[in-house]
Amino acid sequence: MDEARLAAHAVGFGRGGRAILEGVDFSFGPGELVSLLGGNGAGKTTLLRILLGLLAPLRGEATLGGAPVRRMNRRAFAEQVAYVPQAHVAPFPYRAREIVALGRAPAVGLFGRMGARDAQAADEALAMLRIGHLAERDYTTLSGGERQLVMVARALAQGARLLVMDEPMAGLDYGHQLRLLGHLRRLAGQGWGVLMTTHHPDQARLASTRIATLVAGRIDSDGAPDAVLTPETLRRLYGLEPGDIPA
Amino acid sequence: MTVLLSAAPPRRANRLRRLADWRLILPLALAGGVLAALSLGKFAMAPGEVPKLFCAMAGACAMSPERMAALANVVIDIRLPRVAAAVLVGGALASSGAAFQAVFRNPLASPSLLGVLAGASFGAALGIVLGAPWAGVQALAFVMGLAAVAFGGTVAAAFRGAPVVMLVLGGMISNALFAALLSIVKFVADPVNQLPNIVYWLMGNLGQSDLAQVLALAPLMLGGVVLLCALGRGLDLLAMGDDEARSLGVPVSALRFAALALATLVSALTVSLAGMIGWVGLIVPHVARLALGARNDRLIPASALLGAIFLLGADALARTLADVEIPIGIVTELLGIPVFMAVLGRVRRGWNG
Repeated sequence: MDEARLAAHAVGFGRGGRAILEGVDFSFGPGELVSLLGGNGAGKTTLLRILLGLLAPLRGEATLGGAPVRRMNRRAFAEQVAYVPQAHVAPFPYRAREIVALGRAPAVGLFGRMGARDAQAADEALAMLRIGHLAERDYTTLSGGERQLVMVARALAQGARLLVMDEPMAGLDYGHQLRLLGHLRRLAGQGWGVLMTTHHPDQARLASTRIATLVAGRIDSDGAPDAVLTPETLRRLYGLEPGDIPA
Repeated sequence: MTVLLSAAPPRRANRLRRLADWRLILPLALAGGVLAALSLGKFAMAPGEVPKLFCAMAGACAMSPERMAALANVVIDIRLPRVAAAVLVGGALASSGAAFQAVFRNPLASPSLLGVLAGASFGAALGIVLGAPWAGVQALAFVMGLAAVAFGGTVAAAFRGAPVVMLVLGGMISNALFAALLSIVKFVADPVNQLPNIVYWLMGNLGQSDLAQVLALAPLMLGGVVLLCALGRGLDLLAMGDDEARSLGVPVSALRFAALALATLVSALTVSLAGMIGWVGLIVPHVARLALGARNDRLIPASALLGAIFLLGADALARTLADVEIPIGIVTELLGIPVFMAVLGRVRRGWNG
């Protein structure tokens, strides 16, 4: 089904005369776990923000199921696409369940009443990621890995089928990274679509159904993990020479 | 049978918790506080005479006409305006403080952040120096409070950058500007008649308005607080960050503007009603957050009720601690410091994340 794909068409963006993205064509959809690799400053976050409609591209456009993202109703968009930010520090001591329940906001609106079904959606999302035991915990006291799972749970409670994640593995230890990837892989298997940026090619190869690389604002390669992750791609991505890699 | 046995204890616990709900406790405490505040003062009356007076005024109880006239004069004409002012001002400052903290994602934010108090102080001082009547002083305080926030907001909008950070910086500039303007007015004020009035006004005073004035402002202030309460979930989303809020379907800029406009409006009204009263907008939301958690749909109404109770208590102290009345702003600051120190140890947990 091409219906629900989130796509960038010939997207260009720049700031202060410096090009950040140029002619980027990219898309992902249900059932895929796509890793977007790129060095620092390659434009990964900019591309995510354009896909999410948070940033207007200078050229080209982002579409969801063919409709321009920037002209979509934000609440309707939120019921299909969820943004999963990096596990952050909330300034106030919300409980984990309260944070997850905020995912119901697009469905009930700012002033609508959260009912039993919304509470149930939040609990189900927590249970799906096996973090039901964290529900009553203060979000500010959770570990980075736990907080990231709470963010994913909020996206699930939102009911969106496409998740856009900005470096979900940053700051997580190896165990939490693998656990998170396991969850994402399982979600992709169940029909969710996941796009994440990451700095870990090894983990990306392990879990992704597809890998795209962004080099100097352009999509450099895009395809099956093993086909994309060649020494030649790594050289272009990170400036690694064959002699730099420990044999 | 086993089902019944296992279901009974949680149900009773639930009922107890429902009885101990803040939606019951805080309004009751506020009603008790209002009755106590109406009974408190130099004019001696027996405990329970205030409810009896209301009962007699409604024609349901017997009371001698002379006693009733004397009591009505003290309770309705003298005490009620300041008690009502304390409730309105405390509730407005505390709820707008909670809203400011959510919008700025910072537990140290308070209504003064954007310059509303600095602007109102300048306006009032200007009114005093110009020899304006009391209503003119109040109007100038209100208008200048709004003007200071508008100035800060305009400065923020003139620069590109993260809106919240720019607003903090705009507020700093506006605060500095209106503090300087206040200094100029103080400098040119007549040191015998006008300067003491300015200084006194800056300390806050709940007793400067009569019943008609309080009643005139009450609908605006109550309306503003009720609207702030309705923004609760939106403020929760806003506190997560602009991108997250937007991706959850929130019209971020409009919501932020609405919350700041409402909070500024009610804070400016408090200043024109009672002068500068600090600390309420900062500490009351902290206390409420400790008791009820961070959710703004609970926090804002609870802060409003708690702020009203707090200011009633502070006013009771201001009236009774010494032979002369102590300005309320001094009392809230002196009370606020130990309260803030007491909650600091517990709120810090949430800050180092």
